[in-house]
Amino acid sequence: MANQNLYNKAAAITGIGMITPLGVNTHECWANFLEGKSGIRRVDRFDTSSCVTQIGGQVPDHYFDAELSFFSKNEIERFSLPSRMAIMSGHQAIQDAGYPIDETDLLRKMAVISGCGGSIYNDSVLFSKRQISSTSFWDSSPLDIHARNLAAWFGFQGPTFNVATACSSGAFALGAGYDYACQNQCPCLVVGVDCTLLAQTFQGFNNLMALSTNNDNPATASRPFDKSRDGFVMSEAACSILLEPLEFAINRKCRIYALLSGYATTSEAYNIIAPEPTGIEMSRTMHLALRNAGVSPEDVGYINAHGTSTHHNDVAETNGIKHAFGDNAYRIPVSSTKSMIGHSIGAAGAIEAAVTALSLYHQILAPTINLDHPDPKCDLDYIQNSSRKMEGLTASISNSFGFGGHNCTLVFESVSAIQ
Amino acid sequence: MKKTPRIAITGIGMISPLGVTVSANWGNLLNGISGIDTIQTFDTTDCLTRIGGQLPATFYEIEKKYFNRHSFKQTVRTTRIASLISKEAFHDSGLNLKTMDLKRCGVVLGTSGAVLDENDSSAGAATYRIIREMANAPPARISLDLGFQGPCYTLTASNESGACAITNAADMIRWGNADVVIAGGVDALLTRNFIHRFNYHNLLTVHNSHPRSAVKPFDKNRDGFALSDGGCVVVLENAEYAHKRHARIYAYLTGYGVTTEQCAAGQSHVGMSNTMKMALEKADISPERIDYICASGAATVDSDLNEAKAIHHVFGSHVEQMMVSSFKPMVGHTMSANGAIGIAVCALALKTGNVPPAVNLTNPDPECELNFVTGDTLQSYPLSAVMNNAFGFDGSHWSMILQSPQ
Amino acid sequence: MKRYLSEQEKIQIYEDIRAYLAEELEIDPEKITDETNIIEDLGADSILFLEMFEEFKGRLGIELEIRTIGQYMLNNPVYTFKEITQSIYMFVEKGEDLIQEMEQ
Repeated sequence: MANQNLYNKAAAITGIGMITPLGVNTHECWANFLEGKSGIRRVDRFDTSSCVTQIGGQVPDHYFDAELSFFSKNEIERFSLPSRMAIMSGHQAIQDAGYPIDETDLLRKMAVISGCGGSIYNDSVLFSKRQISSTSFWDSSPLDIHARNLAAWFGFQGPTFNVATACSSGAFALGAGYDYACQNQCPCLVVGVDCTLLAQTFQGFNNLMALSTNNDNPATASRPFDKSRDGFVMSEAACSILLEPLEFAINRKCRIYALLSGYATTSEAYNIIAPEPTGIEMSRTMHLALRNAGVSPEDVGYINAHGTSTHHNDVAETNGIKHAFGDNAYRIPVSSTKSMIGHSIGAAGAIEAAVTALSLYHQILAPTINLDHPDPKCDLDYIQNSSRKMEGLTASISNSFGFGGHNCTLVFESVSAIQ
Repeated sequence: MKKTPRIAITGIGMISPLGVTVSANWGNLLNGISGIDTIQTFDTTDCLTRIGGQLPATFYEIEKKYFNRHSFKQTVRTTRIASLISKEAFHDSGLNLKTMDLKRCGVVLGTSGAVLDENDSSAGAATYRIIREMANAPPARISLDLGFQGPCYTLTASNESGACAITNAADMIRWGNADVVIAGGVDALLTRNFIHRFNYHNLLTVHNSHPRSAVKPFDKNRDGFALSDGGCVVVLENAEYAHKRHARIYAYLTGYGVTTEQCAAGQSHVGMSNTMKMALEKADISPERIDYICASGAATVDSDLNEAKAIHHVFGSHVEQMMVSSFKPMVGHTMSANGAIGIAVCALALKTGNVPPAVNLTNPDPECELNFVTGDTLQSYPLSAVMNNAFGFDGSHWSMILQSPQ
Repeated sequence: MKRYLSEQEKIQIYEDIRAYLAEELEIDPEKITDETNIIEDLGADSILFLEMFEEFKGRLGIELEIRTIGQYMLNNPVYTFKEITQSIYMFVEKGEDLIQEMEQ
């Protein structure tokens, strides 16, 4: 019998739906992550000739076949690409969890929280074939439109909103979902989604010199912690995670991937663009998250890093991990999912949370690929290039840090914590 | 078992067509002055609606004064409004940056995410595009300005992001994630593009020749709201924390209801009454104790009818005593700022005993009969509990209950 | 191709940079001295440097991509006004030669 106290201190992750450059469902993505494949290629979604960077993570071509069998033609015209991806991944998560959506009371309570950081979404022509004002009065511009479409798809009636913190939006949304599930004892569907493969986004990030320009070798362009990294790689993705109140999940005897046992969100108040270089702010976030979750740093067996492959982040994050874990830092395996699928902005935090939960469930860790010559300033165990079995893994954290100094650390525990 | 903290409102900051400070706004609201005018900032020849709530000229002077060339280029108008109102609210609260724990201070800001201001000619170098236009720019700016290091994010919830931001911020304090949170909303959507969009859905008034009396909530001749620019934030504080520092408290936020309706018409009176009931339940207060409702009063035919019906349903015969008014005829609909302005109006009403009048109500719709505030509002009423409604067109509804500290 | 700046040219560039920063930050140029830390003392940020290099690259005909300059600055950060002016003299004088130097 579970510890009664845990009931309002942990949320159960019971369903995951994923659409990334490496697959159109969780199963396909997870298998490719473990094999250390790269989903980065030359972008053909738009004309990249005006952009310094011409590579990115597009969802696989068979995504569009999957879409055709899922949506009607009319729906494909009505919903923008990120909305369609949010709905499809949400549907996968609900199915995956075997969640009883036919019960009125559950429909009424279900919150839908999206993490979409997308800054430039006024390109309705690209995303939706219909012109302005023929759909909702918002079209594709307000950021909560994907959450709203997802809620309407199922008829969910709880709070529905979007959280935007740039590159950490998905993680912040999970934090909000955790509070909702634990404090209100209501289920919550969290979706991280962003489709920012647009000329203006590429140019914008190129102007900040944040993107990799390794156009000739797309598969090796995203190389977190490597000496020769030269920026992040932009990608599109969506990931839905169903969070249920723990007691509810136990009572309905469903499979629980892992527990989300706590989190912390902080603001660096340091610089609009650069992370605090010594990592002290990142370390504060990790520390606070562990304290909130009641997990001791010694028990952490895996860190899913933010690991963007930019010069600044990877050093600051490495410093932050060392601050937070002391000498233990060198014994904790760390990996960056972005090495394989690039940075999907709002979706990234949710995908990485899902990867962390799956690694606790399967007791195996996905690698950091393209890590051939580690930066001397990045000297932790980054699970170099091939996945690793990790029996006895009980607790993990996932980091997400956003432009503007929005930091978030999520803490996960394996179900053994309640057995 | 630790006691759940109460939520105190200790500071307010506001910029709207009615003024660039809270006191200017409140003065105009109590006097029933409208900020709706013929649109001058862009060409409206191909627009059905040619009126709206533009920011006063003084705003542009203040903006120039507080933002140098460099920071101007890095920000959009919403960010600048957010920064200015946050400073006002912070000063109003009497908080002291030197003595407070900044790590326990958060920011939750509601905005539609449509941060691109078509009228903003200051658009600067391409270098700044991302940091200027990213949706999280306004709260990030506030956090940098004030040094707040707690939770900080942008929130979007249909056209009621400000209401959602405030309730989320209250939860943030209630659940122990922060002690002080600056929360509210900001939007600057008064652009040709959005006028077209809202006109397409028949949501805006077309009483172009009489801008000041165009928005007529609960009136027989109502035909929609006016779109406005603006922002409003409040300082929410763990009441215990506020008491300890002997802060002036406007009001307590004691309960709220939130629902998302899924119905074909977008919204219905059922969803609205469920939301109000939920708020009353959460605040643990009986309907008879509510003295005033700051109504959503969006002035569209259906929304007012639905709201009046829902109020009757929830409050029964108490509607005869309970005062009702809406600030929409004066401020217009500021979208994300709307729910926050409602909270500010309620907080100021509790503090001063005055409520804004229901203006432009020349031919009350018999189907929307309520006890509207008319005549001499400057006379003080004893108010102890008030409700703020923020009902979204697509069925995202918020109701909040504020109670007097006395 | 190497270029050499005369003392007079350097003084002109020095004053131009000072005027540029003063205008962007809306402060009195007199407030900027050799020892002024642009970020700490004047509340600017690193992006201002990027914009400034872009501007002076055009004005002075610096034969370097902004990206190259950015990469150089990563390894050789500048803080004070004097350091900024010195680095711009160097970009003008070394031009593309800087790339070879960086590769070594």
